[in-house]
Amino acid sequence: MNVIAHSLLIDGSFRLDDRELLRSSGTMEDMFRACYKAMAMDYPKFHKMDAPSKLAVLVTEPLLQRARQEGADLENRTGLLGISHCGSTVTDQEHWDIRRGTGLASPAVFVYTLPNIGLGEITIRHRIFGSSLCLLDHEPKTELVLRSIRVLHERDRMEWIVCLWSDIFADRYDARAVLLGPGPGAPADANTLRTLIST
Amino acid sequence: MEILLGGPACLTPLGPDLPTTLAAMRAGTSALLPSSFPGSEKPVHVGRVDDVWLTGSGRRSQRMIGRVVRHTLTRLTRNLRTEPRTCFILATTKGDVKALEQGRPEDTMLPVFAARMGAAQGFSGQPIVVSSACISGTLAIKFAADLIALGEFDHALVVGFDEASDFVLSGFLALHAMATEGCEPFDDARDGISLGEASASVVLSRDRSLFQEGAVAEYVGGGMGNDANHISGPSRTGEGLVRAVEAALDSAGLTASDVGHVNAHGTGSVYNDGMEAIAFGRLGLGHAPVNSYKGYFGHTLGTAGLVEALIAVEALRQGILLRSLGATNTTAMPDMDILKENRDTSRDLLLKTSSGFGGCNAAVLLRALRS
Repeated sequence: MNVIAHSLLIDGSFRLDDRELLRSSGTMEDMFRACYKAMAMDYPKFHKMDAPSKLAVLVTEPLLQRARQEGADLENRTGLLGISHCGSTVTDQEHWDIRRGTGLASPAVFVYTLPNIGLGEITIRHRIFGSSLCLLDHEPKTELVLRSIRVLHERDRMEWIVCLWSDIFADRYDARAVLLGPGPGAPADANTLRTLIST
Repeated sequence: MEILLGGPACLTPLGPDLPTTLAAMRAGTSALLPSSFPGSEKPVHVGRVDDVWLTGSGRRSQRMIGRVVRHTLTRLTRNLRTEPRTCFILATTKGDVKALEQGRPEDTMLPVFAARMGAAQGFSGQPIVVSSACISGTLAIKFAADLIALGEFDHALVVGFDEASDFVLSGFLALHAMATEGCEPFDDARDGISLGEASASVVLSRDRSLFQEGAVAEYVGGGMGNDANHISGPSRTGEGLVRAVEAALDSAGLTASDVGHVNAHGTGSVYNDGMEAIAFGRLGLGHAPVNSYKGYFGHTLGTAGLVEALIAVEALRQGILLRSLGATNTTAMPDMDILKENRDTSRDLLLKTSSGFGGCNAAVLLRALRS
């Protein structure tokens, strides 16, 4: 598999391949709104998502648009790999703060208290029915990424794969994503993935 | 290539080990007991692990995991801790989320939790954490088998863990998802889920000689599928589950008619069980006896797929299909062979399915090996 495109959304900068699409010095929410507008997304559901899901949807949006342009079979032959350190920690804290403060819980918050929900939101937005794998690790280790890609590609026969590292803790966010597929591009080897995801 | 499972262990609300748990299930015992819960006017039914079964010191989570891992490792002919090309996979949804309730949010980070669990069990290296909601346990089996099949590892220790916590209970109560009493999967009158807690472990390996008492099952195939529909409500068409099972059958070179038994997710919620009935109908699984174990000890979340698969395998090894506890009237699902009583069987091919928030679904095919 080759790297068809890659994106990055880290503390005020949104990049697609080697182009900066957006730079902002605002808050995380400001940045997410700006990215949403910059990509002309028309998806009201986005505004109901928690922050980790918004981050995951935004950073993968240009890659999945590209995949569609390239003729990828999003429905049947596209897999998702999501790796994170914090997972849903910020939303867990929000749920627990509500619980502690009111004695009750918010169903709208609670449903986001799982690390894989961001991947679920991506599958809904892009109608992806294939394999998706959510893993947690301290950092995006190239070895784990490569192994997981092999599982999705060679075992589950996914022809297109979006690899996503995304993390939010307090107000800091860090998301990097890579679209892998059969088209022309750098081979998805350890060196390439280390550069795009792990550093 | 043959991939085998051995050294199964579990700690459930019904017992401190697999034989005790299965014996209680054969007798039709449910561990779902009513308990008061802040924020709920009525008692909620929860399956809790008795602390008298936990030995040693440390966090409850660590003791729950330690118990099953020790059991599994002592059923091996070699020390897995020093065996090269071995991976440790932890399936969980919330890990030690009680640390959040106790004001230590940093300890709830799953990689931090996994590192501590791995180290406490004497393993070097960072465990791989699979956290895909309620399919985590089933998916961890599949992922481990895939990594071995690809030659990435020779052995995998797969561990599942989740506790019944205020964090999760309050959330499901807010969703109005809890059953009025103990859950009744696949029953016409089912009205919600019951939560449980458990830990479980098993080793997957290509090496049959690793298992002192022989392998208990062969991994035959597995698959995943997404509903791409809703993050907390199951598909109305069962699409993701259909795809997961089709992928599992395809990977094994089998058809639905080969399946001897389905241990379903069967949470007891109206929509989940209805979705499964639609999916199994679409898949042509009407001939296969179906059950859910949630009526015995509740929904154990990220552990569920693993602990239920291990129990189902052991039941098949004993030649029995367990009744789907709570399923009394099933007229709304006439095309499914829902087990209302224990039944003898000579079949050996288990289909284990799980579905979860985020619209994810997983299925594995395991062939029970009788001694």
